[in-house]
Amino acid sequence: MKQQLVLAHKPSPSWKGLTAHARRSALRRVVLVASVLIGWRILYALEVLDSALLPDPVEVAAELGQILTDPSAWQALFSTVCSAVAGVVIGAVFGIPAGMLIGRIQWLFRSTRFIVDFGRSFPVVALLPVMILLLGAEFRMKLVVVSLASFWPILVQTLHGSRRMDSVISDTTRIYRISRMQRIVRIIMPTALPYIATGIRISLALAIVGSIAVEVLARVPGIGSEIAKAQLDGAAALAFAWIAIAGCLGMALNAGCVAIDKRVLKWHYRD
Amino acid sequence: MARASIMRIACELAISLWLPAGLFCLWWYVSKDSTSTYFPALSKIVSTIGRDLASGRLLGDLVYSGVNLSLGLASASVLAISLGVLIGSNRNVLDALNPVIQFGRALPQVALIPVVIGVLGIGTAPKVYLIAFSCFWPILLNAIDGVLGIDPTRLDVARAYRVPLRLKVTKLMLPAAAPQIAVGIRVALALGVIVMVFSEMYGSTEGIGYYILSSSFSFKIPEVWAGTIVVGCIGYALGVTALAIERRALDWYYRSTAD
Repeated sequence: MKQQLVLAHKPSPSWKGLTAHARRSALRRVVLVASVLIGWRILYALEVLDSALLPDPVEVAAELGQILTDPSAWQALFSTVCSAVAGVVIGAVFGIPAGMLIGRIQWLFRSTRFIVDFGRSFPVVALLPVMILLLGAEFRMKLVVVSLASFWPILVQTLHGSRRMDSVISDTTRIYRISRMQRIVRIIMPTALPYIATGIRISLALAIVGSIAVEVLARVPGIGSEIAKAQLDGAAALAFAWIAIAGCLGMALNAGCVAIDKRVLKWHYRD
Repeated sequence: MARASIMRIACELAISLWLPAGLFCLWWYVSKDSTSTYFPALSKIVSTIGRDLASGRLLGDLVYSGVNLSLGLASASVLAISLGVLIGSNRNVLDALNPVIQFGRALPQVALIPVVIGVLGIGTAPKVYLIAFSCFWPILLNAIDGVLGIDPTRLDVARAYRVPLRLKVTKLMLPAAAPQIAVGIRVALALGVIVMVFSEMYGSTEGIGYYILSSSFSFKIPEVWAGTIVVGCIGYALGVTALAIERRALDWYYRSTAD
């Protein structure tokens, strides 16, 4: 699944070391982001929208500063990150072996097709009321929901990745009687790895959505509960500061994933 | 001949259905005499679905949710595809907008729900905005990708022959980007269903999400399970339908890549 805008250039250590092209690009981006912020401020000053829906960006920045210097606020951030990352790990622990198995065994693939399609298209937030009843509004429940949300994309990607095998390669391994173990480690795994990496990236984004959904609805501590609390208190600027943090968190985790991918899958990106 | 092919189809069906059917029967059998409050008998859940569909309550909620989802997805598609073509055909604009696009895409869509519904109320319009917002980003990104993937020779030819802009967009750019846009719409649909359900749980008096949550508040557990299962079936049906429409509309594309 292509969902990635490829950046035109690599980051360079210093402004001077950049090519003219990269410098122009950086300048353009800064100007654009700045004009978006200024436009926001003007819209606020003109009172186009309700100030609860479009608070003063200066106030939002102030709240953002306050949150980032307050250790107790970091706890909410940490709780969201923790559940999202732990959920993806649990999803991968179950999803990768299951995907490998289903992908490599033909009859199993055909028999589980309906279940896999059903599971991947199930909106996990619909399970929230059941989960709250069964497990209570606790961190444990959040972890279960997030793990469930992360499991399916990883399963589906692994499944497709492990089926993607060049027929020349599979014939070659058969002719040379390469052992099953060797085949899994040397051929199937490396072919499937880029797909698994994509699955992990997709599921990480879904895991953050899942955590925040649980936090908003069940008031389990985290970014979502902070947004909901600020909104109920009428503190629009604070709510927006938390929304900005949620967006930056999504960007940071995605960037982290891409960086790890590039490192681990260097051979894949080379060509 | 005909008999052999019927046998083959029957075999195919048996292989793909024995596991789901078996699991269903297992659930039915194990929960048959269930006295647990949280795990009611499957027969009871199924009869609840039938009852609420027939009485129109569940059906009304489904229609409400469906209208919101289609309005949101349709408006997001129109906006995202036109902006995507615009942004994708100018590298400088794309490069400058990159930070904004990355942020918009990474923003967890559900984070906006408390603020938007809190301020604009629990009516239909805020839900449509929220669904449209979350559907917008995947379609935009894929539309841009699709336009970027157009063979530059074709664009050069269009320029050399001075093909008018309208013709260029409708006959060259949109068809070339269509397969990628279709991928974006499928991703958007899944996200839209999540936001649809969640926005109705957060604040609503109608919709399938409200049906599930209000049943859980009044401790009607069979209804909670019924709603959850119905949502799952809808997600599945929407995914399958979208894929079928895509296969049909992009038939020319699949045929051209097959050989």
